[in-house]
Amino acid sequence: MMMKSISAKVAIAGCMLALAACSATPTKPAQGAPSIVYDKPEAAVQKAAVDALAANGFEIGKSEPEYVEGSRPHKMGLAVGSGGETAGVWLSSLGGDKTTVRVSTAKSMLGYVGQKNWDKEIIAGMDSSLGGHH
Amino acid sequence: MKKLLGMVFLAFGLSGCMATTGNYRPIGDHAYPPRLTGCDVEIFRDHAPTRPYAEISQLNVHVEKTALMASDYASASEELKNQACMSGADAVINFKEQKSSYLETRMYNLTATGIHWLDGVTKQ
Repeated sequence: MMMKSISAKVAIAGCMLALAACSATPTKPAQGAPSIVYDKPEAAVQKAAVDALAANGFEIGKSEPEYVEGSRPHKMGLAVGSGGETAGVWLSSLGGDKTTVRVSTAKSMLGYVGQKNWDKEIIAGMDSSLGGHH
Repeated sequence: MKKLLGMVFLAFGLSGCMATTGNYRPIGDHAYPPRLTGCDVEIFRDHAPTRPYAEISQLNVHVEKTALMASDYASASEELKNQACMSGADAVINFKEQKSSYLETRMYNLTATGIHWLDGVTKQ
């Protein structure tokens, strides 16, 4: 009876750990970290961020005026599979038609080996919509 | 315990080696109502339409397959039509295809524009 109770608790703990390992929360880069600036209004940059995340296989989870977040679905593979990353895009208006952007990708524990940092691809996608950054 | 572990592994296995994600974003201020699922959507991949139209949605479909399996337009076309119907579009133009890869994963991304006919004639 006691063994069954312990086994059940271990199983529950294992499931919770597995669920936690399936996702990750991106961390906002520090204020002094490099950022990019687009000569476009914040609303246009936000739409470009949504498009760029979708174009790289992210399912959009949050779409707020100053923050967009998406996650890539896990996929099994022959060797390492892919998916499990979560990316965040933080936007801040500099006034007028200028918007600063910071991007960060977080990797989850599950399938870590098959994951990659998507910051460059996301920025490239936004550049393609907005005509480049500086 | 063995049964539980087996179920966990089966669940992960069923998550599959392929993922298709689709979405649309309305263009402009006018919101168009979604059309019925499986609606008839005209596809203009090789030439522009001759009827007057308005661009109403940005459509995107992303297909990823592991195990070195490649994807192409055929893999994405059904989801593209789904997104077009959800966005209220009558037809799709401006196709842009992009392929990339990372380790064993092959990625295919399709972007297009959903349009609405301005002459009032729509196939259901």
